[in-house]
Amino acid sequence: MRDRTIGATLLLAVAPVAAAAQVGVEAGRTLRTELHAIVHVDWPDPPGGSESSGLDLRRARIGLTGAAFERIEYQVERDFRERARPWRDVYGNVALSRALEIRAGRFKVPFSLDQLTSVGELDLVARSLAAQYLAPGRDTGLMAHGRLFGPRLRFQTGVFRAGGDAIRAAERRDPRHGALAAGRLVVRLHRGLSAAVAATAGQVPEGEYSLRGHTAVDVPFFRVVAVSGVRRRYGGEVEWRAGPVAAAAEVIRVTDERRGQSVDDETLPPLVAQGWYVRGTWLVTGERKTDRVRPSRAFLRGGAGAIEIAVRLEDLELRSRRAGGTSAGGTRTETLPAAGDRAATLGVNWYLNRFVRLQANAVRDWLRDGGAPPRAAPRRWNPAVRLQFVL
Amino acid sequence: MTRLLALLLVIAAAPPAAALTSDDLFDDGELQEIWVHINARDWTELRANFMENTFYPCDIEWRDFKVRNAGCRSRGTGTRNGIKPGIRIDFNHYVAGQTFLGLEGAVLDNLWQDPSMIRERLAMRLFDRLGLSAPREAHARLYVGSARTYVGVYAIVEEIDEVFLQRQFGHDDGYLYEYRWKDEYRFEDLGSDLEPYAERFEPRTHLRESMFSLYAPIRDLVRAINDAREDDPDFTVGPHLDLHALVTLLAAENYLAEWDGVLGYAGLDNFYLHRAAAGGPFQVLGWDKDSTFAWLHMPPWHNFDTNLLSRAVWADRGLRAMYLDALLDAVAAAGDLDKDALRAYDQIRPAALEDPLVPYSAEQFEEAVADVVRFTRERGAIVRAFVQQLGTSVAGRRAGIAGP
Repeated sequence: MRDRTIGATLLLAVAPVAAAAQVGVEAGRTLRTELHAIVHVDWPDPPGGSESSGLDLRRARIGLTGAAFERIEYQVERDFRERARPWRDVYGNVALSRALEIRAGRFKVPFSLDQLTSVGELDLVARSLAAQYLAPGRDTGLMAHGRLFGPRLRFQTGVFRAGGDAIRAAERRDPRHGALAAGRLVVRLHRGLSAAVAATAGQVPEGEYSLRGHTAVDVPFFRVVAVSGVRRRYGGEVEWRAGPVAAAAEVIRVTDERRGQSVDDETLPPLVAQGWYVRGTWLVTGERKTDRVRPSRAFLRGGAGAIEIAVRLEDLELRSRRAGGTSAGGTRTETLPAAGDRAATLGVNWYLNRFVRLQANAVRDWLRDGGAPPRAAPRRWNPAVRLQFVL
Repeated sequence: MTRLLALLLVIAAAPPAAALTSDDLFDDGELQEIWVHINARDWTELRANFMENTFYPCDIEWRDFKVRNAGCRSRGTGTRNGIKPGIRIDFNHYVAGQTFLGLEGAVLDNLWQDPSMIRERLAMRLFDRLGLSAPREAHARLYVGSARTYVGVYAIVEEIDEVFLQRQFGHDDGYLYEYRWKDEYRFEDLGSDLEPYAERFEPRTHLRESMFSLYAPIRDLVRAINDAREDDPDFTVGPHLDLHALVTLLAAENYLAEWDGVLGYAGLDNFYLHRAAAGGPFQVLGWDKDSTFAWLHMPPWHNFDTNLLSRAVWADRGLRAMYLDALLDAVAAAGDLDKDALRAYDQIRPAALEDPLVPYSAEQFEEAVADVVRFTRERGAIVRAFVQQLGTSVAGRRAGIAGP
């Protein structure tokens, strides 16, 4: 009840400001600052909360984006619903040339199209499983990026303090963690069609720090195992947009070394996690698909807004490189049978105007547990509804 | 060709591995060798966090057998320590249904409180001779880690679990509880609430049953002990407790001068309760007898007056006679316990002297063994003299003395 009230109050408070268009301050070409905000109210709220089956004010982010002296940009964003890590993006960016810019601070590690997409621009309520659990997410680091050969080639490469914020909390807190190196290369193949490859490599300290495997309804399906050594990520992605239609696909593979992790201190076969998704959207009201969809006729302004249909099929699987053997528990088992989750998501997005969007999703998943026959999650289709305000 | 034939002959002559049973593992005729394969980091953590019951993955190797994906954790109460940790092995902790020689688990007793390292083995030998349900055990050299580091002499002890119940009683579906020492408790009535009983009696079977199903019978037992009629406690307690087995256990413990058992100095300790699934009286099963052989001249009715149950036993003429009878049975059964003591000593001596983690010196070990041997040789006469002094008719006849 309290969350619902807070959410409604925030929306009401910010809506008039939104209606008056962007909030920003400019001082000629020298200084420019803009306020931005993202508010998400979700239904149902996450299980286990004090008020189950109600609304959840999932995000309440406010930030500033700005530029100074034409070459310097910055962004500061804080989520007032996040207690553990309230600061999201906090970075400065210097454009030395079109071909080379330097970014320093806290921002997303350049890996995974879905993970790099702003949470306010996602086609579906939740990111793909691969992006949630296999991509590193945000971290503090230094990155060089730029464009080469005109708009055809874009690169991002950097070094980050640890393994990102999508890893286990215990690993994040471990002072022995090593730095993470990451690189991503995006090629524009054709108008509206681009492809990218990305990779990261970093040292994982010895401990029970294996990557997580959860179903689409956030149920863990893979236990924690002891890892030590290098964590490597490889990713490939394709994105295509043509008028009201868009499609994207991505595949990610991560290996965690298990050096000296057997009961005899010998090296075990690496843990392998891989995930993929294929996603498509269609704006049935005919608007052009962009990062931020603008309805041609906003709701209550002579139109009904924009309606978009979205669908995604995805998969996430974890196992040891030499999979098989008995389905033993324990953190040091030599062979880990493959366990995974395949999920299908159907969604409808209703863009009331450029600021407000209502998303309705239905998710169904099929769990694979250690080679056992596929079985559906307890609930056949799981609903997820989100009211979004973005400034 | 000759080599091949020789090899085939050797293979043919070797006993088939499948023929080995758990009796071979607990065979105290030889010093067993057990290798716990455990990651160095886990071993360090287990020792550092020895008060926690965290399981770590381990493989157990014994002779040509290797059990993979077992679980090992620190164990014990007073013997828990981070230097030479006691270890509990669950063969089925990570692999459902996995057993080793039919066992679901076993205990590696660190013998931490026994400088002679042979007390418990001798105690269990006497229990067995008296027909008491006793876990099997044997001494073992224990090796740990990939480097097969020798960490000392341990006793591998049979776990009291369903497998034990099946072996002892022919069925494994009974209710089994391990007594957890919480405070100085001696069967006083704890009231109608079941929680105080749950705090003291940890179920090892029927874990998912209701509190009432698990603990109402124990509450009824305690009430019966508190309501026991002085002239006939068997009438009130008998339906709830196998008094004959209890009396035999008390006699064995007191013969061995156990000071941390059912009549322990700090109340009840070191026993299990068992009751058949179909109902019937509880049986008290002795456990962890490393505090025996401590007091050669201990009166065999020591602490009888402090415990409600033993007081009722002593007050009843028939039960007291049964107890004294059982004491003399213990005297007879322990007749050659000194030979067992010396055999055990000869068997473990080199390993004990090499034990890198034992908290006692070689001299203390030798002295402690000498004390145990002396105890085994002199205790019988002392107990018989005590019984003679008391002089009941039944016991008197058995002791070869004139009755009252």
